[in-house]
Amino acid sequence: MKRARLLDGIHVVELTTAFAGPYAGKLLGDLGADVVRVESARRPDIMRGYPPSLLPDGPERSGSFSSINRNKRSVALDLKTPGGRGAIARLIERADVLIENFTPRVLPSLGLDPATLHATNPRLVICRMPGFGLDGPHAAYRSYGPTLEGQAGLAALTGYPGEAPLRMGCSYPDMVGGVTAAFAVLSALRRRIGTGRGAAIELPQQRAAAALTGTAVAEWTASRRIAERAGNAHAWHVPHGTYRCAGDDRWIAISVRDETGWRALAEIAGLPPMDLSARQRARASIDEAIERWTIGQDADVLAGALCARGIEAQPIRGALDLVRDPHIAARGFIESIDHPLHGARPYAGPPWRIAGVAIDPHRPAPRLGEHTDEVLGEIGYTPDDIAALRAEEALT
Amino acid sequence: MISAPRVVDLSAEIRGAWCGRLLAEQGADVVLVESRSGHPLRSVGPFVGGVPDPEKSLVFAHYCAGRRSVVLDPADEAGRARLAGLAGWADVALVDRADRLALADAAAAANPRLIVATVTCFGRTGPDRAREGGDLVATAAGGLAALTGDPARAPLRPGGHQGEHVAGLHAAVAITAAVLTRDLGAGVASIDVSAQECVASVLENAMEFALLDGRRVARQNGRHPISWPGRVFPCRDGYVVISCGSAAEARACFDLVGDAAMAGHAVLEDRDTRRAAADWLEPLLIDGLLKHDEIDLFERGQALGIPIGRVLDARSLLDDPQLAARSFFREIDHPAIGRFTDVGSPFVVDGAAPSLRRAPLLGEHTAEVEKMLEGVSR
Repeated sequence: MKRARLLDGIHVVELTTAFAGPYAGKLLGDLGADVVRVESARRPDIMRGYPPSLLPDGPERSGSFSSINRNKRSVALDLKTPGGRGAIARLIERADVLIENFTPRVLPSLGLDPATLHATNPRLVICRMPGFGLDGPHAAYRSYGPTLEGQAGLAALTGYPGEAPLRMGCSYPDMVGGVTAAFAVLSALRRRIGTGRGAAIELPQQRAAAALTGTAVAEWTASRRIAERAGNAHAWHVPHGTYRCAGDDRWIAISVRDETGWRALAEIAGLPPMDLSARQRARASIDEAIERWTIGQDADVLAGALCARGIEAQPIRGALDLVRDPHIAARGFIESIDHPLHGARPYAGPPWRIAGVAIDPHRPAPRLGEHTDEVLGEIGYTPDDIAALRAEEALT
Repeated sequence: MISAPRVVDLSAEIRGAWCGRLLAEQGADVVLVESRSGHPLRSVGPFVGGVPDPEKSLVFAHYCAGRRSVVLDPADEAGRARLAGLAGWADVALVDRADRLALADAAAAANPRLIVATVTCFGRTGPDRAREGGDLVATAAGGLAALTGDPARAPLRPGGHQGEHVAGLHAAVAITAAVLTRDLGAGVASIDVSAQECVASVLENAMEFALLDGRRVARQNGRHPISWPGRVFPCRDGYVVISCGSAAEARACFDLVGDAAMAGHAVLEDRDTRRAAADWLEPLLIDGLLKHDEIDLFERGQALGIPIGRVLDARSLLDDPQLAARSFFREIDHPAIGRFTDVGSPFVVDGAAPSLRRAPLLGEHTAEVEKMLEGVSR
């Protein structure tokens, strides 16, 4: 018997750029949905030029694009032409989901405002991902991931104690905006089984990131305390930090979250007995003592020894370490995807394993417009129609 | 009418608790299983009043909002029977620590249709599968701490439990896809989410540099690795964060601070040249920014087309006119904590933000859930 497929028959149209929208589509594609990107050579997605490059130049060079757009199909449409507009309207008419992350004015300017779309396709789940909101005082303001880290209250929480706020080492709001959008879309699709109706989701990226500030707002309003930047320290877990080990820029993270963990660490590291309140007072000297102990040791060996004693510890792994990590390899997290222009290349797979349903092997990211004819054919365009659109220069 | 997904929440960490809150916010009926001493997050501060109290942890109040609490002890017969009853009722069981996988197995044994979702630090397979950890370990293991902070000093975990958040978010995606697929007629048996892999999935392009180019993206003390300006900058009364992709935006930054000579400088023309010159460009820009206030720079910068943001803390976040206009914050009345404000739903559906019940008191719904289970036969 053929096993059922995950998200079988869910059709997603992506009108997206950069990271946030495409990451939502990537996750849905990983879960088995059919994801069609609408793009144009006249205004290529900035991701098509984002490093690292796998080719000297051109729109197919980007390894970042290939990673975040795997599994998808690409339809080239110039939405400034009547033919391009007609084609996207038909594509959305038969879709289950539309994801877009342009500024709020773009969708209505293309004649694709949610009311119009729902009039022809009431089952459509529309997910819009503006930087700040579809309206409100900052709706027209510009944002990128790093600026949203500030506007969402995340940068204020990150940094060394007593020093300036720091942005994280990645465009975090973009990425978490994408995951949140995938969740919003799937939740709406599930509700649709009951109601028969789609939804209009507004997912401002500032809002999605501000939802990740943890207890900072609760603490301010309940206790009039502003959570200070604390480096790696944790007010209630001591010790809790990253400590230098032997070698160039090698570190170990050690986290003691209960008295059992503390007793085990104190024993192996030769630290005196102390209860939590004593440790909270002596935080700095404990950290110094631990680093004196770790600095000559190999981070991997030490982490193994600490974990074996039930102490939470982990070497600081950079992406390059992960690529060579035996645990990552054993889980099959890195997969090879064969691309017609790049050859077989390694990429990180999805962060989950799902048992009980079939999931197709991942396909390479699409070349710009690779599936234009195929997808237009599926939505009822004849070869003659397609030739006419091409003559009109709508398919570029 | 299709019923709300039912989740038996066996979490002990922030990642599972956050996943449960996200699911509850979208309408899931989530029952939190606690021991007599309470969910582990009840013993993590900040505490209102400053003294540890299982009903006054803001960590628990925030992360465990939206669910009912049942006290049971899986070590005794009655507790095991109650857990089996809950598993029979539920669509999904959620576990987030390796040392609790036996609970997941027990739940699965009680209900063959149950979707068993685990979101452990390292996943259910591989040599590190038994290792435990919270946010620090997840951000260390997944590559985020290595990217954050000063290259000469200790790698940093970002503030606010982001390693746990990305794990909880990805788990919520996989669980919702599984529930949806099951409602469409196909069965998902189990979901194994690794917090380490979730963190490694959100590193922008550091994994691609490593995998495709064999190159290491070093931590850069908050500077964007590719473009300039791209970091937090000091100003007269606080901080702003600027992130420019184009030459026009970079030029506008010097216009913003009234430095016409630099605004016209040829070094700004090319992205790689700008980034390479960051060490001498930065002091020049900072000199100008220090003469202006945060709100002024934000408003005028936006008018000039610069992607610029303020660095808001909890207090200024509450005053942000955009978040306020879209009713982001949620007022909570809690019997032990009193009144406080919490962050709200990350998105709005059909113009409305969902409501969410406050976090439960320990065992608040034990009797109610027991009664409900008596009426369940599946």
